[in-house]
Amino acid sequence: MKKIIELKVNGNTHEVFIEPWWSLARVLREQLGLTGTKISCETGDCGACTVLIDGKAVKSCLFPAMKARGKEIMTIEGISSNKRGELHPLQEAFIRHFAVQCGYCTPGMIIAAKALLDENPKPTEEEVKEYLCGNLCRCTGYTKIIEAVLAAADKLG
Amino acid sequence: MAELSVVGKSVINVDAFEKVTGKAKYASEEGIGIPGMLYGKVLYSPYAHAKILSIDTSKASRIKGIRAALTGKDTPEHRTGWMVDDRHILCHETVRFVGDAVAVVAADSIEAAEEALELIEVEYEELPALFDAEEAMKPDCPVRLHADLPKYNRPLYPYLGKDLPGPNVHTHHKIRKGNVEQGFKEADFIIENRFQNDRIIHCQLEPFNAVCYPENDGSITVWTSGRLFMTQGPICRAFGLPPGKLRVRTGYLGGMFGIQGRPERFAVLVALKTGKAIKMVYTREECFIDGLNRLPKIIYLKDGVKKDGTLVAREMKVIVNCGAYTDHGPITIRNGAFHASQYRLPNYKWDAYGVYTNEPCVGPLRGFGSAEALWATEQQMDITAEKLGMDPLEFRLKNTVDEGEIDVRGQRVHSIGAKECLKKVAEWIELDKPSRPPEGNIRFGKGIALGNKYTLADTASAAVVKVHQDGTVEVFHGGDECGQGLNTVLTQIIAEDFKVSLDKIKVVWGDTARVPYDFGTASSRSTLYIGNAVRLAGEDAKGQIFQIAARILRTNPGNLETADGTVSVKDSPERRLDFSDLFLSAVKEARGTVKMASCLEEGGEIIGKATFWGHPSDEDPETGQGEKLAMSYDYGVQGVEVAVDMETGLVEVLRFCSAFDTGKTINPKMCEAQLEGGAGMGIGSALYEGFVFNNKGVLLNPNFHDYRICSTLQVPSGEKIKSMTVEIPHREGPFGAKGVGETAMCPTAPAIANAIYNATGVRLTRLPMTPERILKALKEKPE
Amino acid sequence: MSSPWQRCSASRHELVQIAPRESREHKNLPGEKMRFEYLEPESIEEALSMLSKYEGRSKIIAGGTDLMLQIRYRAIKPEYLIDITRIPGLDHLTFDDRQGLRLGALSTIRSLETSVELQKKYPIISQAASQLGSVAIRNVATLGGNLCNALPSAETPQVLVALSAQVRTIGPSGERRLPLEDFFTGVGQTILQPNEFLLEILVPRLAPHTSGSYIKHSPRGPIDLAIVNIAVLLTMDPDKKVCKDAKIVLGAVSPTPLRAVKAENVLRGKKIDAALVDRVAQVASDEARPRKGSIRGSFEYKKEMVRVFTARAIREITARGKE
Repeated sequence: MKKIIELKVNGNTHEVFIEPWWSLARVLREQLGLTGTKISCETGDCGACTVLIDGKAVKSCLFPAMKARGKEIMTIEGISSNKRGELHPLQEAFIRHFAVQCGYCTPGMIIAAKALLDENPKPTEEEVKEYLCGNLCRCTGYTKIIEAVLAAADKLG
Repeated sequence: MAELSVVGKSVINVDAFEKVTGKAKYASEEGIGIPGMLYGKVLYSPYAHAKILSIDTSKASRIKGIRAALTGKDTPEHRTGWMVDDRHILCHETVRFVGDAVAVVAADSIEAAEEALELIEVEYEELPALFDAEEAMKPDCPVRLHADLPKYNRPLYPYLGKDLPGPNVHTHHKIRKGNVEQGFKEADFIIENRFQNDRIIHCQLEPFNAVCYPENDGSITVWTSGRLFMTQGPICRAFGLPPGKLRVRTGYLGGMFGIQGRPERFAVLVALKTGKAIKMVYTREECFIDGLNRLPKIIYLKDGVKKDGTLVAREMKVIVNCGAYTDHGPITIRNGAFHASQYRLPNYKWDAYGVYTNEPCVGPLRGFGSAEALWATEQQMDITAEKLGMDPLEFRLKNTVDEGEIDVRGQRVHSIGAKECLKKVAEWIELDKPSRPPEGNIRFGKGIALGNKYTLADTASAAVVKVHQDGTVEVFHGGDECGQGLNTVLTQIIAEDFKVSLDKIKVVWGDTARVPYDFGTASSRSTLYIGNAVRLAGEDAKGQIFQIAARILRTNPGNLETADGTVSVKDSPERRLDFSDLFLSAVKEARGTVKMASCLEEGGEIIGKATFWGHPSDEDPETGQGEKLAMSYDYGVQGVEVAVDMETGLVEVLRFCSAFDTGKTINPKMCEAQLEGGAGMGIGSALYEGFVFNNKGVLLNPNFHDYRICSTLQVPSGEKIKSMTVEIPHREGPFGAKGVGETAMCPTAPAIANAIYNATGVRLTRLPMTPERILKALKEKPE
Repeated sequence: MSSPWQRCSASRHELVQIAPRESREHKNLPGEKMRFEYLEPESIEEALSMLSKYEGRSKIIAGGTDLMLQIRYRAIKPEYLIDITRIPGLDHLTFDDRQGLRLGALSTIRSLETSVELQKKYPIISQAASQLGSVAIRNVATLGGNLCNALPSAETPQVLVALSAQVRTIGPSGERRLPLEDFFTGVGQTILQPNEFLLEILVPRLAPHTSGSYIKHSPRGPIDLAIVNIAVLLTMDPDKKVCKDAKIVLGAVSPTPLRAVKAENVLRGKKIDAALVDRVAQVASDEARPRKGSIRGSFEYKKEMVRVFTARAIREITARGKE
């Protein structure tokens, strides 16, 4: 039976009318218009749906929206003002280092990388690879993604 | 040539800002939250081969919210397809693979559609199924999967339907050059081997999806995650719609690698029947089950070689398990023959067969037939080199064709950087030095492979360039932006030709109502074909600009040049006009509202238009020879160093080097990105990826945990990966450029196989080279 | 449709018997069809009352990373999900010199991985936790969930069985306490009654000179389900030459975590040398009972990997001991 719940996303509180079995990913995309978060496998394997919940990376395709009540959710739309010249260093680095091709994995990848840098501001190349191993990309072969994350770490540090 | 200022530079990808902010629109974003939208689901056959005795959708139709429950009887009577018309939109009488579409439901909510799907009652009579292509192709095979095959219409390449050796063989492609029997007699050594590759699939991150809107004028608009015109054509044929009645739109594609998009045909079916809009999104499992696979080939390869290392003859028999319907099988089989163009083969015989089986359908996957063939031939080169006691690099250098030679299909070789690439890669991985010594159970080895990928000659692109009053240049093209950076390359080309800054250029794509025809992004053709069409359209537009400006400046059009939205006389730059001066509003007689008019005084607008097509020759159906079958070839080499755990069969790729010839590298960093991406897909195809079926034809790993694509941990990065390009200009390419997107995956698997052999003495002839298969081979190796 | 025992054919030459499908293998082509009500009790009592009220029609959800998949593939079809993560006091990670380690069922796998104290005192637990999926999964997945879902290839059961852990459960008739080794009864099956849930895992103090190793063998590393996973715990005598006690627990080669008791007996009381390690590994391999036709590894391959990795785990421990 559908319920009205409150979700706090990117600093804003929203009321949504949802079925209890809807995933957070689905609610973000279809109820809140935050389509930056992508649904790709729905089995928690590819990471295209990664968002931050209370600062921690979470695969939102496996996370019931009901579970997200009372928590701080951040999506790619909330990582910066998303205006030119005001992007998060990770977003800038992904652009500058050609780490974006088709772009479908990109929002999830950037969010996961943000979680990494928030926890570990100076990761090694190996640590970046281990942290991001749950975010699959079919286009880039990861090399430039890793480069971008390390460059952003330098900039933030 | 004049010094280039934008082409050849690593210009930032024009899409990147949208993509890093999450604003980029894919077909997945279309139609979300629209009131009245229907949601569709497909019912698939659970059997590999069965007769449909009855379908009852009455219970399904009673579910609250169901608006349509359609079966074969609701679809057109005629069969349709790409090269062979052999398939109905929904099965009529027979299902031919686990995943064949039997019914479609559409409802107000996805939940109602799922409920309804469960209530459709289908009675099947199971029939014997074929999974083995060699069995299925036999002339006396008792099971016939398409009894009407001889009557099927063949709209494309009909000659591929001749000389079929068995009732389940639908395609036979031949190449004959010289006399292989004579060649084998002249040879000092004969090397014969059998190779095989399992099914793999693209795994684009964006799941296949489509949205279909019926329009008020009786036409329909379809959004697809697939290609633009290559969606329009087949859908029109399938439903008997005139192209003017079907508008196709795309956003950014979340990956493509050959083919995307499957649900459009079902969305269109529902929209036509109900008159309502419908959104269909495949689950990841459905993408696996109903997607096209890379060609699973069995290759019998026989080479004849002289003691001095000269290849004299090659015979290849290729048996392709094409699955239940031809789909893109025939063209991919035929095109796979292009791989042979890299070596001098005076006597050559190729027979490639497409065989119906009860497995999923096949089509192009980054390499379009060539990658699968190179798996065999590039290992055979190493095997032969060892037999001769020759260095594998020297053996390849000796036999690689040179500019101007005629290749195995009768084409003159042009723009080939294969030898340079071989040397560069061999140098970087230090192929002449042995790999490191064993460490405990780990053995190290190195290997290289040379690959190539053709771009088809029988395609066409058109482009339109519109120049605006404010100096903006708008480019309209019918290609697909799937992450390869096409829009950026076209922006660079226009920036170079018009000498305008990048922010003055706008690229319009993804709408058949707004852009001219294009075969689309495939065959590594976008830079070459669309780049050329755009240049030519730009020249046409400039011509119009110069005509108008010449009158105003009182000179000849040939004396004029343009930069930064101005037109000036060469050598007299003070005699200059802005683009706005060319328009009606600037004319002396402009009065009243005419002073606001943004059209031209005559002719309406500055619109340049052009076609670039390949002027292909015929292909001789008996010999496969033709003067111009491919527009261009891209050649490339990959070299790897691997570590093999002798106790577990696990392989780690330690270092990876690519060198590819691009003709002209329009954007070096983006090109590098393609090569690195190819490494990732190639390593996946070599070591991890493969479909696993049970003996009932059910796919057991239709998901991302049991079908393993590379993660960050499987691909070398940083200092351990090196991507290089070599520029040997192609006379027909824009600025000499040709495509590189697919070649990046072509030599990977054989290079890794060669490295594993170098490390362990064990040669795997079947893809993928999983740990279990490697360990088994290690244990079976004679001491 | 087809009999539960099916033959799997990867080529003409590889015919393998496969067992009834694991919950991850789809019945027919899967859709989602998830339908449930979502309940969020705020106390243990509330949770128990909900479990009773909806007995047989409800499932406990903690992190949900395993459960949501089971529902997606229709292995289970609960009408009610009872989310216990809002109940306080169930996510602790505490040490006690007398009692040892107490882990709340709701402690996340990530907290087990990153706890500095756990890395120091029970490193084998952190080691296992670090191999579970990726960080985003570990942030949400719980120890209790990993144990209760009871998949043969799960990361935490083997190490905790090796550590002789006990579990505390709660149900309408009160608490139960039993060895973790007795907790698992089959693939996806535990001794938990439908109206019972897991509260806490207790790990006794380690005997002196006890050291362990956890190895997961999979093609791509942590994001893959294990082909085999092995936990070895050795207690050495003070001279570090003779093995006083050994626990060898195998995963993904039987329906439940498998104590390789015969292998342990070979090792116990002996001085460890290369020949002994090889023998122990072979015995462990002989004890392993993987099911045939798993798409993650054939019977023969899994048995061989048990041999290889048991030996490697023992060698890793003894090499560390020499440092």
